[in-house]
Amino acid sequence: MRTSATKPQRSKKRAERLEKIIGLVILTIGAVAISIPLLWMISSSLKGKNAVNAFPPQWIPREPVKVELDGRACYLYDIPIDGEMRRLALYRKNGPTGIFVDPENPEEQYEAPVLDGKRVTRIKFHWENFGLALKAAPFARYALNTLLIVVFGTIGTLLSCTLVAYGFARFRAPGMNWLFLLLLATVMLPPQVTLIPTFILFTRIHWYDTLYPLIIPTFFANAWDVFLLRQFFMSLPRELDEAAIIDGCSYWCILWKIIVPQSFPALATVAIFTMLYAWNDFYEPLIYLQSPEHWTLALGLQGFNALYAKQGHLLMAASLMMVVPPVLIFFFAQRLFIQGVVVSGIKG
Amino acid sequence: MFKSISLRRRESLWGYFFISPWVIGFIIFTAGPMLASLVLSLTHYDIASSPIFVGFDNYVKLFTGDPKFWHALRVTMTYAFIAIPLNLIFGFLVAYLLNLRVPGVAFWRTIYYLPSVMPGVATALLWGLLFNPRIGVINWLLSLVGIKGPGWLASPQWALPALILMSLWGVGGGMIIYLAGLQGIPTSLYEAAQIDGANRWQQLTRITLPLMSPVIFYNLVTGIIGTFQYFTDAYVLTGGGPVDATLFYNLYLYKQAFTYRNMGYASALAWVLFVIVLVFTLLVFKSSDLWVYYEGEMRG
Amino acid sequence: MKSRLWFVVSILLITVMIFAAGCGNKAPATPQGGEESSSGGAAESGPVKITIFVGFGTGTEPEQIELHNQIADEFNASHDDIQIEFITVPYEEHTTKFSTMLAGDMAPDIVMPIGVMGVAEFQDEWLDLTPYVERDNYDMSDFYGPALELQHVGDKLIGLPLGVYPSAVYYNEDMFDAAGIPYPPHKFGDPDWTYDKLVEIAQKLTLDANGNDATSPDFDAENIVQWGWDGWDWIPFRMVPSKFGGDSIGMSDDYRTAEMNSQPWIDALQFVSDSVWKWHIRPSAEAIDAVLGDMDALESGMVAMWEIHSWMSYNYDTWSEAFNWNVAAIPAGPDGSIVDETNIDGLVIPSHSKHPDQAWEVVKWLMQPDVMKRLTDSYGCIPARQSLAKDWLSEMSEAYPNVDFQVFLDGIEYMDNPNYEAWIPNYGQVFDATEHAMELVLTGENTDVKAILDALNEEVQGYLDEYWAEH
Repeated sequence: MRTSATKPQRSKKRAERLEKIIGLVILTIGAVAISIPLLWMISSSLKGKNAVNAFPPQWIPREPVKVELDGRACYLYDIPIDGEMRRLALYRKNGPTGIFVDPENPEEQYEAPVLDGKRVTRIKFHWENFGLALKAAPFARYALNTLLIVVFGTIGTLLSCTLVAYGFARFRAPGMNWLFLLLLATVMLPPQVTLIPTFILFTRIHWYDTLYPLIIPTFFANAWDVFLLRQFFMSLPRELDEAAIIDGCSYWCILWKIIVPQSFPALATVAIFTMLYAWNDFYEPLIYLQSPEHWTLALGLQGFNALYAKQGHLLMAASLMMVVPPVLIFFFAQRLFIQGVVVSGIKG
Repeated sequence: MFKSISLRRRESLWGYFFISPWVIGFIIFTAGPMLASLVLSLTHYDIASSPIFVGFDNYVKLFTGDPKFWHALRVTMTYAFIAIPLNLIFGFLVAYLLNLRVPGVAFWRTIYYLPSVMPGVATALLWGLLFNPRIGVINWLLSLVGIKGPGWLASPQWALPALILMSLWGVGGGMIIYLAGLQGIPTSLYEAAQIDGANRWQQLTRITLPLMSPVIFYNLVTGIIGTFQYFTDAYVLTGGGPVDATLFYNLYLYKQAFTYRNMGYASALAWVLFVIVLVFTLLVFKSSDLWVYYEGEMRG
Repeated sequence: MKSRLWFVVSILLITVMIFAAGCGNKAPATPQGGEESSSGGAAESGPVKITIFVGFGTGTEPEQIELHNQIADEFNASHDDIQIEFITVPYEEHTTKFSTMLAGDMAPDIVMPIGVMGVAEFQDEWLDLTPYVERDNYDMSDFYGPALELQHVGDKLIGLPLGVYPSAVYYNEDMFDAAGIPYPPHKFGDPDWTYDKLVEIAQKLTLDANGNDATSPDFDAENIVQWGWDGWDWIPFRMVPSKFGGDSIGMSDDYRTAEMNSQPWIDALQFVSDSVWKWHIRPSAEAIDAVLGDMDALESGMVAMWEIHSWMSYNYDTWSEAFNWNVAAIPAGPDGSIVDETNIDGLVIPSHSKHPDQAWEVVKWLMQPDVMKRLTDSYGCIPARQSLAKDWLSEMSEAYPNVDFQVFLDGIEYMDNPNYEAWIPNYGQVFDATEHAMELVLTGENTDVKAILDALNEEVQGYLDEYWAEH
């Protein structure tokens, strides 16, 4: 067996390469599928107000071309005149027939059914949508509020959830399992029915229209993240803990020196989730904030989604801008994940 | 003997100490509102005036006189039984493939995670456009391969599948958690397995899946809890229609609570859902002894 | 053992506290026009802050928020004793936010703009303004009578009208031209202008992919590319029976007995069904979505006529870019009566407002002609002051010279009464049930009109019984 070890080794290599290629193919298909809505969003953000609804769907925003005739803006048409395709401006409509004019030579006029013609379009990117969206509301102010919530919310969640998850993962105590179930139970009740009692609670302690209801509770842990961290902590082998105890290490020291360093990927995940949740959360700010100077970005975004005049192109532009910071953070924070792996790899 | 008891007590006390932030927060912020809603479920409460105690009337009506309750429950169950497994499988698949150390991992990961970063209001509006039967990109793509796409959100038959499809767009959320789990598996285990002659499939089933079971377990439980409370996308995109085809449980609950202002009845609905979710969760927890493997589990 | 007891006790204590807090302080502000309460308000240090809740209708677009802020700045600069602040909430969330504020005893002081439906959603929550009007001898003669009428709930005057949105039949002139059909009449009361006539025209304007119209034997109903009209799309089904000799209430006068399977309701739903499935002039639910996308019917360029409110003004520019359009009068129903379904926007004061007297002062300030004009321009409604309506007509006619805006002003006289958004018991549930009935027909799930309405009637009767058992 030992002597012939090289051959299976090589076929294993080949299998691995094959697996990678198949993996890449599947990943590409999935990524394309996932990108379609994203690309559509980008495309929409660059369209004019009404091009969002164009049929057939336009990936590259196009717009009808207009020319000035007698101080009026007229649409340019491609239209067959006496069997010849001409590019003419629709000067006037007379019922179903149109009076078409050669823009180069305004004396030349033709009558033809409008429906025979096709509007001339050209590619036009509305880069100004981004500027318009930014100017529509005091987004700098909103961004500051959002940032406050995100930063403190993340710190609070990481600190509290790490402690609580450690407690649930590593300690035996009477009622611990029941308490854990109780923790999970807190997120099983639809928030719609606890909304009003919670609101009353926050108004009684004068937290309404402040950022406190969005920040302070994060310092008291939440079920989703505690559960996640508990799962990770529980899959860490206990041998290192036990060795550390023998070395005279306290529970605190085990948490910080052994558990946390090994759980970097999980902690990074929790941090990312919390940041994004706080960044995009719309519902709680809506309920607990009132005056515009306390608004967050997600609240400001709603203005583009008003009852009548939905400004889809501006909403998309604003949303894209709003996505940039978290995406950048995510992209670069990935190094943290990888470093986390290295640490745990060494340990293994 | 005395010493071991006191050690155990010490451990207990430390345990309580570490979980105390949550316990305190629970008592201050969560317990009151939860109990308040439980009490409200025994009342008629229209929000504007004081609640009137009616005993178990709401629960009786719910089980005996409200076809919409059963309908909404059916819609939610259907969605849950399809969407949860799909999201579990696809999330794991993507994470597993990414973990093969394919080139450009950071890029792939970002692409897959991007949808989860989008603000909710933009996502909903975007999908409303994508699903549009005429001007939407999805039917346009289908038409390229010669398929006449359905009416999606406007069709009683296709609205629910449309929402399930949409949920898959958010597969990146689960993927991230799986990835974190996969990255935590020591490479030495695979090396050892390879030396023992295990093929990739065996490595997947004997090492990866068992070691990932706590994470799968997490995604399953949170998937159940979250899916039963599915609300926002349906609220924005379909409002429960057409002809109640997407009247999800929580959407119905929301309508009762705020549109019809039967907060008492809505609270009863909520507590019934609570029990349903709790039962499912407990079943999964009970079953976890059979399939979830914790490296650091306490034995004995 | 001890700690567990402590735990339980503390939870119970907190619940009780919250409950007491939540359910106390529920006495509504008494609508007394006296000076005592205003002096009581002034006793608090500093100016009184009056909050104005926006979100029951339009008013949440960035430009509108901007206008509100400007108005607030102007008001605040010119007043020492009262300061105003606008609270903007997206339409989708207005019930949630408003309910929460009510429950938290933080009711806003004014709600605007709010229509009949918004008022009905919180039927008993509005202050009767009659005492204030009488106390100040407030002059309301300039308001359109019908608009003012809609501000009455029972014998209470619950608000003042900002503007009205009558309906008309919008039509795409180009499509009429292409089919060689004369435009529909613009004058109300033309004896030939009936819904039968409208169907007749609409069939000629409905085209399949081969260019056949809906009267042709070769017409292919599976491949329609242009519809003659989009019915009352975007208008709740409740409205339709009022066109067929009934009303939008569908109940006995005491609101105790449902009458939604009565003849007018049957005729109404039958008409809706026939227009989609028999005459093919109106798109089905799926086709509507296909036509509309994010667009309205006219904008899609696939619909020739559509009966809808004047709040479509937000999209006039888009239409004008693409085609020539105009508005025609509302046709007469089978019994010859003309009903112009109308929306209004107004201002109301919640009865739980802590400063109703100051709120009333703000309302009066906002109702001044020049302020009202800025608001109605921004909301897109016809100002409720007749003195401003003339300006509105001339400005609109100038902006869209081709369009006959007089149609809307004429329509105000034919306003539906009771309004189709008017209060009925268990408002939301009955509303959803009637919409569900129409959806069944529009989706083609069920077109047995009689059976649908029998089921509807039974369901609604259940909601009524429930309501009266509690009231």
